Amino acid sequence: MLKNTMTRSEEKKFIAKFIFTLLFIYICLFEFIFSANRFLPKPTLLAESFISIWKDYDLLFALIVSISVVYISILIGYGFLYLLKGILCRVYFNLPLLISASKIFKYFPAFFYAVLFDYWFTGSYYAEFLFAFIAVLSLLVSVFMKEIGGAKEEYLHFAGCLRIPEKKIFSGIIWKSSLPSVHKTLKSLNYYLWVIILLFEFVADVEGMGKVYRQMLAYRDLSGLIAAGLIIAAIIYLSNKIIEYISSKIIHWENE
Amino acid sequence: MNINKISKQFSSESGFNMSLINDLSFEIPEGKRTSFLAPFGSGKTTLLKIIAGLELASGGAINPPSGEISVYIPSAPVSLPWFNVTENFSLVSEDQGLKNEIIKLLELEGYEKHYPDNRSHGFRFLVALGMALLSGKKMILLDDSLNGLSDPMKLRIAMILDKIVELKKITVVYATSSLSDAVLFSDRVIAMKGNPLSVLKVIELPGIEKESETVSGSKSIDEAKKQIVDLYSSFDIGKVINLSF
Repeated sequence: MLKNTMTRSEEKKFIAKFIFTLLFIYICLFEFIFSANRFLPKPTLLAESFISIWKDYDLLFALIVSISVVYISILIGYGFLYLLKGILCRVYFNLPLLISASKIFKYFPAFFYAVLFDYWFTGSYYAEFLFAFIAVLSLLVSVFMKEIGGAKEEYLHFAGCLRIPEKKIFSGIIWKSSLPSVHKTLKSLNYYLWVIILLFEFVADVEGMGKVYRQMLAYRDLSGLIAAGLIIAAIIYLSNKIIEYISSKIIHWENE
Repeated sequence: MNINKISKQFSSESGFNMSLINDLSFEIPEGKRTSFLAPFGSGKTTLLKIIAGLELASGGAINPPSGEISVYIPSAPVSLPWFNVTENFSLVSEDQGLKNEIIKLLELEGYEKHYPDNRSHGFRFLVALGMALLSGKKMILLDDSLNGLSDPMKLRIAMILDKIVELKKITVVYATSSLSDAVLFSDRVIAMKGNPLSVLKVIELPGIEKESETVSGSKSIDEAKKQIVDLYSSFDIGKVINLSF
C-alpha cells in the first residue's frame, strides 16, 4: 500500500510549486496562444478586473454584506448552540423520537429553503440573516446531537458513579467531548454557508456577492466572475486559517 | 460487603442463553485491598459493573446495595483531558480543603494546573483516583486500570493505595489477569476461573514490603504465589492468565 511520507513543509513547497506551474501555464496559454477565447480571460484582463470590479459592482459593499451574513451567523449560531446545550442533551435523552422525526428536514435541498425564505420575506436583509442563522444552527445542532450519542461511555459511567450533577455532565463532559467535531464542522460550514448565501442572494436578488454574480453573468463579464471567485476563495482560505487557530486554542487537548 | 449468589445470563448471537456468572458468592472485607484474579474474558468487568450498580444481575443480591457506596474506574483512562487536575476535582467537589488534602495524598502537589494528556495513563489514573476519593464513597473498584503501566509507576501507585486504605479506610477491589498485579495491589486474592465465573480459592497475603524500586517478598508471600500458580496449573488455565512474577 502506498504511504504519504511527505512532511508538512515539503507538502507546502509542493503546493506552492503546483500553483506557480499552473499560473505559468495559464499565462503562457491565455496571454499569448489563446488570447481570444470564451473559457478563461487573458491574465492582463483579469488583473485589470481585480481593480475595476470594486467600482463597477460596488464590490466592497457587497462583500461587507455577504461576509457579515456568513460570519455573524456562524458566531450567533455557535453562541446559541452553547446556550442550548443543556436543553439539547435533555431532548436527546428524553425525546429520542423527536430527534429521528426531525431528520426528514435534511432531505430538502438548500435551494428549496432559499426560495421559501425569499417568498416569506421578499427583499429583506433580515431574511438573509435569518436564513443563514437557521442553516448554521440546524447543522451545528445535528452534529452536536450525533456527538451526544458518541460521548465515551466510560466517562459517563464514571461520572454517574461519582454522582456528578446532570448539568455538569452536560457542560463538562458531553459539550467538551463534542467540541472537536463541532469545530471541524465550523470549517466545512465556512465553505457551505458561502455556497448557500451566494445562492440565496442570487435567487432573491438581494444585496451581496450573489447579486454581484448575477450582474456579472448578465453583463457576460468573465474576468469579473473569475476575479470575484478568487476574492471569495481567498476570504474562505483566510477565515479557515482563523477558525483553525481559534480551534487549536479552545481544543488544546487534541494538540497534545 | 456480601456478594450473594450473583448470576448473569445473556443471549448469544446464535440465540442461546449463556451463563457468564452463576451463583457467585464471596465476601469483600471493608477497609482492605482485594484482588479478583481471573483469566481474560471470564467476566471480571461484568462482575465489577454489577457491584458498582452499572449493570443489573440476572439473580442474587449484594449487601449493602453497592451502587450507593462504590466507584468503578475502568481500564480506559477516565479523567477528563480538557480539564486540569483542579478542574477535574471541581467536577466532584467544591471543597478546597478536601481537594488540597487529596492532592497531597496522591503526591500531585505542583501538578494542580497540569492537564492529564493521553500519553500519561499513570497520571490520568491518579486524577481519576482523586475524583473517586472526593466523591466520599467507601469502595473503589479498579478494572485492570493499571495494566500497561511501567513497573516503577505501578509500585508508586501501590504505595499510594496503601496510604489511602490506611488513612481513609477505603476498600479497594482490583480485577486483573496478572498474578504479579494481584499480589502487588492486595492483601487478599480471590482466585477465579471463567465459564461461568466461579471462585477457586481465597488466598490471604501477608503484607509485602514496597521500597522505592523493588518489591520484596517474604517466605510466606512466595508460598502464596506458589499456591496460586499450582492452583491455576491444576485447572489447566495457566495460559489465559499471566502467572509471571
